[in-house]
Amino acid sequence: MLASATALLCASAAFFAYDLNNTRHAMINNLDIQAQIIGYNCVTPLVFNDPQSAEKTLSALQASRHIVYAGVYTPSSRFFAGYWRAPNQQHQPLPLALPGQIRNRWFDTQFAVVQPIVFDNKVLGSVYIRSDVQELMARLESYLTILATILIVSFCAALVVSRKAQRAISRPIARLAETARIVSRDKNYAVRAGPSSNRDEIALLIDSFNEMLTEIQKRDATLQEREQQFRTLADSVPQLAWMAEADGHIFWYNQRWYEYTGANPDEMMGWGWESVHDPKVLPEVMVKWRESIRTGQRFEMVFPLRGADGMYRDFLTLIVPVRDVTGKVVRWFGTNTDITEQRRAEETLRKSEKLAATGRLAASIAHEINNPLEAVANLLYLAKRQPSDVERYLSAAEQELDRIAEITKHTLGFYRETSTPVEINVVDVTNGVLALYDRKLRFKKIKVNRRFSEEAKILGFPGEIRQILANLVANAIEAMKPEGCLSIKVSSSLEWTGTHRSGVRVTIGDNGSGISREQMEKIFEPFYTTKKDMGTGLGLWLTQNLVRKHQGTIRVRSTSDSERSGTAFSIFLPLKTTQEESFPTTATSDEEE
Amino acid sequence: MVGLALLGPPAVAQTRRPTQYDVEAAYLYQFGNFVQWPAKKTAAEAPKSFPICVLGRDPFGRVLDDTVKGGNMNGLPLAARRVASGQEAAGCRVLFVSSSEDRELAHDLEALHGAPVLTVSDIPDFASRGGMIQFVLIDNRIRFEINVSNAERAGLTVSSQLLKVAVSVRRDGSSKE
Repeated sequence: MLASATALLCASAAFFAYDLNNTRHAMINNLDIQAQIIGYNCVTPLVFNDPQSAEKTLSALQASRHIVYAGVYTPSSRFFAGYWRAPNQQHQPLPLALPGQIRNRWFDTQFAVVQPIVFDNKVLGSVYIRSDVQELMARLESYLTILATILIVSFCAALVVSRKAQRAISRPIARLAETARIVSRDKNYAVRAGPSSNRDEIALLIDSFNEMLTEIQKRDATLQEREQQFRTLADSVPQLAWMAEADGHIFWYNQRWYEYTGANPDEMMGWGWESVHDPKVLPEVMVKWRESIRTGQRFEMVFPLRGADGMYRDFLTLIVPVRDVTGKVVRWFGTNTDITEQRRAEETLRKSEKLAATGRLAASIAHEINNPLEAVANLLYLAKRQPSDVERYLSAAEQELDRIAEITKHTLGFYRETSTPVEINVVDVTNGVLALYDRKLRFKKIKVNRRFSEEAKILGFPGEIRQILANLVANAIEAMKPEGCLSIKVSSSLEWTGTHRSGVRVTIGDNGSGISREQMEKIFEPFYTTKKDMGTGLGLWLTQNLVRKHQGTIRVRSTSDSERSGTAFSIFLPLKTTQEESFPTTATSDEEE
Repeated sequence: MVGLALLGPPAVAQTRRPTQYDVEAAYLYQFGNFVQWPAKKTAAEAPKSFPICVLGRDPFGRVLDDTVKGGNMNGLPLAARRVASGQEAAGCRVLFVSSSEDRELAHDLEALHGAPVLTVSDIPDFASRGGMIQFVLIDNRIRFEINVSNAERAGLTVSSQLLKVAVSVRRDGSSKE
């Protein structure tokens, strides 16, 4: 409204200014013409020196009521004849502005024109006319009146039009805006903007708005359905699951979490989960978790969580980042899997395998000892029968007893239970293991190729190291045909991967049948065996466990090509373990006879 | 511009006050501007000059000669002539009849035979005695009376501009003040 009024005002003002200027020009033009006419009519009065005649001519200007003064002057600017609008007054002729000097000039509310009187190419004199600007003023006044009228009339018209327009346009739009406000305030997408009575762009706008609301509602419903599906799924998995903001603030847990911890949502939101952690482990968890939040890397760790019963159980926790299209982490999704049962089962397995191994060891020892004992018994019998050779028989029996002593020393000597790692020379342990299998090796006529360093010492549990080696040697012997070749190398070495710790490397190779690619994938799994009823399938699994316990590594290379088949196990045992474990050491022996 | 120098208002003092004859000489010449002569029928009859003549005793002397010197009228060079008779004056454009001709006036005018000559004189009652423009002295100023009928009979047209400044305009006995 204001803009329209301004525009109207400007347009009118421009028009009026233009017109006033035109009027002014017309006025000047008009005066010029009058001056010319007077000049022409004053030629003879000037020529024949007749001022009365000139005055008569000038008096005709009475018809132009705006002319206040007119004068005729001689070329030397002397007053010749004059006319004054105001009658009966003592008139003074006005001094003439020289023609050509200033043609038109303004005097406050008057302006003047000067026209030379030229006759026969001679300047006979000048006409000087002064006019007031009443005409302009009158025009200006009438324009202002018109302008005021126009403004008032247009304003009234605009009011009437806008009243009508409001009914047709403003009101539906206001209703639409109100609806939009309700939607954004109450998040209520079920409301709809009222329909417009007329079929115009406004109605179209309202329809589009309503369609948009319907679409939003539909998407909302889909989203909620998805969310519900997800929650149902998340609540049904056996794991504890939760979601956190990018900064680690947890905003949702699945039902299992609450069931396990016995906590309520209020306690758990944000960082409340810290309360169900073992205070001893929590600092490490926090360090790792904050590191993940900082770097956006997935988190994997086993830590205990306290259950509703107050007991801690171990959980394998996996936390993966959920990223947006730009790769920025927007939230975290975490699961805690209870591995207590798994650990317990593994422990049971380990124990049973150890028991089995102990049994086999006992049998083995009995076997080893039984032969020399039988020999001693025979020799003593022979010594009784043949007293002449008693010395020879007794010394032979003594040798056999020495051998028994040797065996017991080798077998039992290493198995004194130790709770802390002791220094072990792996060369000695290897020799001991080979001695244990000496009979078997000789029986299969297997050639042993030893390449031992003089010393290869580590800190560890001797029984377990021995069991590792015994398992591998036994497997090698098993795999070989008679007259095979067993190759054993023991040396101080640096680890071949990772941090290149110093330690001892033992490689045990055979030229046996080799391990096929399919078998290779499973050899370290528990209960996997190729020996049918002969083995428990726990040998290599246990071996790997023991190597890991010593923080070592185990590798296997094998080929089953008929020409150059064979297998090589390579283990690395670090000089010392960085952390002591309270793994109970029990007497073990070789296995899988 | 000599003529214009004589046009100064009488009220204003001049170094040399123009005499009656100074003014009259200038008027003789100026009348030519406001009178239309009939066109000649053939090119051979075309006038070569604009003669201003004096009949009778010349009251102007050198003044008239000085006035017309170098000037021209309607493209024709001005010339001052003295004539002895009306017959002789037939070739003039403007004829000043000297007061010395007062008695011979009727005869002189008759002798012009209606030739297109603007007759001017200061002889009293000249305008009513067959003349066209008669100088009169009013308030010590040279004015003139015009007899339009006499001019028209000679085929001359007097401009209304000139009539406007005349003291009186006669038309066949009637007169306009």
